Amino acid sequence: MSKTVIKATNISKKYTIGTKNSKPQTLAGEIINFINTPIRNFKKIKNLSNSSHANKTNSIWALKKINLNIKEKEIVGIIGANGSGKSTLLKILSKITTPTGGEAFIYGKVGSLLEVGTGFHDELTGKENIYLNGTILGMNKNEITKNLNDIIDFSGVKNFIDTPVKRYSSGMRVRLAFSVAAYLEPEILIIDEVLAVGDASFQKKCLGKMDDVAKSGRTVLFVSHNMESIMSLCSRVIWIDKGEIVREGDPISVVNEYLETSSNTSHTEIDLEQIEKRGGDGSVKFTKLKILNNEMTEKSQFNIGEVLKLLISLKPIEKGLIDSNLQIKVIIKNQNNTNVLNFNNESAGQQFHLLNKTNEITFAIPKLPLGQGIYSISLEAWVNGGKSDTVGNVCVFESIAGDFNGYGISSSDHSMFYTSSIWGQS
Amino acid sequence: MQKISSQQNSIPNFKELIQYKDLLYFLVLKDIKSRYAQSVIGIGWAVIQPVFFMIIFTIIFGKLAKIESEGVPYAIFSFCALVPWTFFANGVTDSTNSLTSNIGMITKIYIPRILLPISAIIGKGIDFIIALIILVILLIFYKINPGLEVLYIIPCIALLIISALSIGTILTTLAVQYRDVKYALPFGIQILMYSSPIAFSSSMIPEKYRIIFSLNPMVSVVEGFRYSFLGIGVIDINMILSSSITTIIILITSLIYFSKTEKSFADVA
Repeated sequence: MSKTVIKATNISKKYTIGTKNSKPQTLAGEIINFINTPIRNFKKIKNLSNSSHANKTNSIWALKKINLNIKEKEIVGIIGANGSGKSTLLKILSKITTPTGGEAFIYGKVGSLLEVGTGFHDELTGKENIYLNGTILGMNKNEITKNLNDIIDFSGVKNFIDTPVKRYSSGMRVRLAFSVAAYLEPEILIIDEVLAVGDASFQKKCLGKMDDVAKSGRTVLFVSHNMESIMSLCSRVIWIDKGEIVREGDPISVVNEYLETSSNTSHTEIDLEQIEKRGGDGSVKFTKLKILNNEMTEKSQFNIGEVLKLLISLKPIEKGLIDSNLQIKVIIKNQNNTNVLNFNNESAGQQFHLLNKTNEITFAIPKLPLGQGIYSISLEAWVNGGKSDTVGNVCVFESIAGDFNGYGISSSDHSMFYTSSIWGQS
Repeated sequence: MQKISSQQNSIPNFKELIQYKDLLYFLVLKDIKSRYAQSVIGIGWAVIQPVFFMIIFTIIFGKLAKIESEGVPYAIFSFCALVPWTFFANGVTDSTNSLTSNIGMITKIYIPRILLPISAIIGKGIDFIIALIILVILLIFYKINPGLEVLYIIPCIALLIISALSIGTILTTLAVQYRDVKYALPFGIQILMYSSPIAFSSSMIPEKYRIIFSLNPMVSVVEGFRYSFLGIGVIDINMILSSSITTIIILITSLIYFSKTEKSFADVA
């Protein structure tokens, strides 16, 4: 039995959130309100640090009685939807903020990476920033000097190392920052979704580095939305939802259960009308989206090579555009938010016209060519060549191992893409 | 082993500060380098500020208002006070802004946060040394030759640094939560300047008010500077005690207040 390095009991965290002021109705009320403003502001700001005085309505529990027991050399992944409390937990364990209740004991030196490049200063050179950022992360000067050449090599910005970082491109900056972090050597490493930086080749390098860290026998606690890296790196996964641990255990079963539950929302049809964040001039509006397989059953997991169908509904808002040319684009992105497939009806040889009612558009990918992973769907509607409505990442689906070519051989290799191929022998 | 709980420290963890001494060094370096980066005069600004004040003071208070300067030329009388005052004013301003201008270092990582106001004060040290050199040049120019009393400068500098650091620490702690501090600061500094004997001598203050007057630590610092370099100034044990006691009270208050509040910084910043 290896020894415990993090032991947390009943960790809870309450945050005070702002409340809306009631608005006065009369001029006199307005004047009194104006005079009282400083007093009210004072009370409000004071309560930010004093959660015990805050009443129930303007406080939320980000974490509720979390218990953790992490052993030496474990690689523990934390998953959960946005706002579930994952980052708050990491912040508490890395001493950035204190819990409202409960306590934790940590045995060993902690290094935390909640952001890459904390403290980077534009006017300092690359090398000076390596030292500044490194000492912020908890290294001392000698440790950095020892690794300096490796850090510079890893970052790939060797030629600019004596240039102020304000002259760097954003990519160079982030690579330099990550390189410093990569050489952090604490006994316990706490990481919050920082792997998604840089271009594809740099990301690969980072994942490789993560693998090394994991194998070097350090304890790692990390939050990620990338289920693939969670499954390949972690020895245990903890799933947090609404501040509570829902499930913990071996990566495959917890991740699968998490994906099933979190994609539940996409089982039913998705209401697009309520989405607030949208682009375009608003002359049409997407209303509904269904994601179906060949049997017309709604689902969110597709085998590679299976049929994926979308049922898209949209309605005209500006009546003057009825009968205008309508173009629909479907964009599929991977977890890194990179477009992997773009479709539109016109390049597929179909012309649409905007109808004076709810327009129903069907779309199908006859054989899903995407390798295993999680993908999201975004939609765009163009009327007469002008962008009218866009909704981004409205639903997710997962591509799982399947038989692309239909010969009964399931593809379990890690191709990113599948397409048919013709072979011969003579 | 580290324990994490809702309990608050009431004194800073000095052992931890030693672990982070390299960080302090690089924070100071960042402070100095970034301050004068991409400026034509660069470190020369450290000279311009007190020298211009000296010129203005000499014209307005020395020539026009004819303020008594205890027998030495008014220019050096005021400059001798402006050297510690400029350090104090800039040090308090920078350390007050040190937490709010480094939000990332508070909300994204754990470092002993007290290093931020400390590094802001130390960063001003370089300007202070340059101003001291100018002062020495002026002494040579006016053929003023200080004797052994120049050693009195050491406790004065200690008082100067401690008072600037503790006032800066209290204000920066307040500023994390109340941004008003940032707006009130410039005029607070202005008021403090006119209530310190920069343009005038403490001897102009009636005897019975001097103890109250010297509750302001800068009174003893400035008079001490004049005594050390010019051999003039009001050196009164009651006034020194009054300044020292206020400074110690402010120092203890600042350390306790900072340590108690530090853990909520990330939540309110």
